[in-house]
Amino acid sequence: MMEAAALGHLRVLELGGGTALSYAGKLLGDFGADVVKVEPPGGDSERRHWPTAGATDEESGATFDYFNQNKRSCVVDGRLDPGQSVLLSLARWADVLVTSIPELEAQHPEFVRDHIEGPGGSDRITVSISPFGTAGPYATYKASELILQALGGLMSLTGYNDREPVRECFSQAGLWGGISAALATLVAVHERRRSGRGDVVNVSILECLASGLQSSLLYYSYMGATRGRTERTGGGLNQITPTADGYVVPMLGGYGDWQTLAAFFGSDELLDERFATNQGRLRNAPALGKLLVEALSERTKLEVFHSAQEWGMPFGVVQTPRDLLDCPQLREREFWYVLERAGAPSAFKVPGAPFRMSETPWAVRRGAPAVGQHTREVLRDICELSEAEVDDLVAAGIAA
Amino acid sequence: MTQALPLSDIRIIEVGNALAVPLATRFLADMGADVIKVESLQRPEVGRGITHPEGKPGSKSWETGGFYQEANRNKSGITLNLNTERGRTILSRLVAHCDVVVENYAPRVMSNWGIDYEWLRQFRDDVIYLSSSGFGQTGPWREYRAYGMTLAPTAGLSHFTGYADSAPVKNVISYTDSPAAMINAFAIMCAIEYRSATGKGQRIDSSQYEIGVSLIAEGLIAAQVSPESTGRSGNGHPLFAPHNVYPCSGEAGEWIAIAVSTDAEWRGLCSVLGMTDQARDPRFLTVSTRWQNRELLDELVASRTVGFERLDLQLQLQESGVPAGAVNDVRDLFFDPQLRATGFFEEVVHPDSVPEFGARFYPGAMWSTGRFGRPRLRCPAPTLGEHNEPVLRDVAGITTAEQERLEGEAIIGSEPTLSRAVNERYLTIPEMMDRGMVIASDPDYRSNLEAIAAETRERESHGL
Repeated sequence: MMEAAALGHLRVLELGGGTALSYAGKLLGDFGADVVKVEPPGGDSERRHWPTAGATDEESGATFDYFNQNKRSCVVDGRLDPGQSVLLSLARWADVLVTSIPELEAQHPEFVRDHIEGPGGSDRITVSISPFGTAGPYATYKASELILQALGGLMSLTGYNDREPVRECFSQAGLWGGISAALATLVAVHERRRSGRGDVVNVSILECLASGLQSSLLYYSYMGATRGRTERTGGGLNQITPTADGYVVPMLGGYGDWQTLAAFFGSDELLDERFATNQGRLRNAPALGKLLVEALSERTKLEVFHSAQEWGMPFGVVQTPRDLLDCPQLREREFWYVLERAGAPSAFKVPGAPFRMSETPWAVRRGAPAVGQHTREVLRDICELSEAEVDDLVAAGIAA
Repeated sequence: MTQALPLSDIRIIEVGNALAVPLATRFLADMGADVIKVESLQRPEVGRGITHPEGKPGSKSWETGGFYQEANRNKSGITLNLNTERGRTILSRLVAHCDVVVENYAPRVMSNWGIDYEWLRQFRDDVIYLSSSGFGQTGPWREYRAYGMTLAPTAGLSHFTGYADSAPVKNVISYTDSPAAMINAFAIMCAIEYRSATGKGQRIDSSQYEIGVSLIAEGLIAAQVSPESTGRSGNGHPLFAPHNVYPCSGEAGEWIAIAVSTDAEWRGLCSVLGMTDQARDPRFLTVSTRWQNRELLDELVASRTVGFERLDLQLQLQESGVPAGAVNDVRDLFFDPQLRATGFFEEVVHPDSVPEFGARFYPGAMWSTGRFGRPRLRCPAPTLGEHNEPVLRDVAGITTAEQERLEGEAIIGSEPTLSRAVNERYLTIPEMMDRGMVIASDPDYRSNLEAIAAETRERESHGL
């Protein structure tokens, strides 16, 4: 028996492209929403994203498959009239249209004008994800992950002070935008249950990033200071510090017991009064860092991490993909699952549930669809077209 | 517009600390949820001791932490010593009138108190209970301690972040906390949706470690294809160049990010930077030759961008169809033309009870909507125990006389019995500059920010 899903009653139309949109659709789909992904003829360009991860002319990359499981794929060309009618009928079916603005404008310009900027149905919810918002001087700016991390402030806080700022890995801006859009979707759905009214929700990835900089922004609005990146020190307390085979982050707990840390390292020098207080440790960080680097030089990172944790200290460890795939915590919690590709298990282990719900667990109900795998089913069952009408659309190149 | 905010029918009890839970409930509070934050005199929020006005904790140091302010606005705050039977009984009376209970203590803390999902259900059968912890509620690492600062390395983000020729790098923020807060808010909404459809509550186990690992899925897949890859590539892209940050004119430390992926964008870049010869150079004619010659390209582009002011160059490049954006530091963000135009930052006039604040600026609600606009900030974060009286009276039904007894026993109150050592922690601004924690200081920041507040008032007076 299939277990209950949190969002099993929710119908979502995903229209557009990009990581933020795909991740929003994935989060909703992974918790049970019926997500129909509309792709342009030839398929979402993300299908060929990260070609090293197994993409060929026929097959999409594993990254695409990861971001698009639990979705149905329907290929519709919305630039021509019959295609637009199909999109409108899909939008009527859906509880929520989740879309991304630059991609939608490129693929279905009329649809944007009529459906998003126009008055819209009174109970319709549209969640529009865009890099910078739909108004303002950047509304038409071209964006990319790198550009967003730059403008969104994240990059200015990553790297060394004496070198160029550096991006946070992969698609962090896209992922933050996708999570926010999935959250905003459910907030609007909740409100509609009470009011019976829809809404147009405007998710700007730039604003999502600026919402997550923690108190860094307050360095300026509280004291006129600009927060920097990190000094290139080679290691120390709360810094990435080398060991014999990798890196750890030595750290004290909230009420940090310095004697415990000194005992852990077996170092009398650490008991020097310069390091006795938090302020003293910050003021004498270079000398302290040197001692920690020496103390760790012949130990292995995972041994240091586990020992420190046994001593009650919240050390971190720089884990590699191999470490993560072997991690006993993730194994015991059955975090990994084998990515399904083209209807069969693949060689890839990928992240599973981002959180565990006791009654409505995260689940893969279907693997990522092939391009247009569900076009016929969707046109027949949702748009209520006859087989002959579907054949005509396919013959005209409107659907595939 | 007097319509009720989207989540105004949801009440949440938050027993949270720092960010992964407090910021999650703040996102929901911004959208109207009634969030009751529970602290204790014995253990106030850790965020109360981080980032103070003018860098000084002031006379009531526990009331001036900006980290706490940013993550706890729009909430009510009460104190309750959950180490006592009486404190837990009062909590149970609050639980009876709430929809969601959220906490992010280490797993042993709640179980030592005997507070778990089954206990909560005695008082509210359809309660939703989210526990957020470093590594999750089960497994060999469940009692391991963690912060966002150590989880970014442990979850694998740092392995992939940094310069190609250097050690891994971690962001100065507690990186995983922010996306974890967004995910936790989404998790709560998933459970609320299910309860609306079925009437059933449930419990949620949220591991910040696992959330962190799910932020690097792309890298994990790539590593399973090419295990030998080192993992870090600075600002580079696996297919495209130029794709990096480049220095601009003005003060040191001004940068612009440029990401060229098509031939048209390359031609646009050449025309703005005056690189007419390079536009025809066969080494740079195609996507693949540009990528092969990316180091040369980086030098070339950098030699040109230094002649431009960053916002001016951003505008010229964007007008020529080239993806480009200035690297905004935290000061720049307040003056960014887009964030100004959308009225993202909001001025809050704090009550006189904490004179160090006055009016301060904060990021606004994370999204805006056609019907609700950007929901405005309704109240600053509560002072310690600020809402004891109304919440305990109206929600838990505790009389004023009883509340006085509770104060006498330090079960509730408004002054910490244990003041965290905030005064010991803080550094002066010059000391922070010495340490590289701060790279610039603007003595006129308050009047500079006031210009933005004036702009917002002007816009609002026109009903925009």
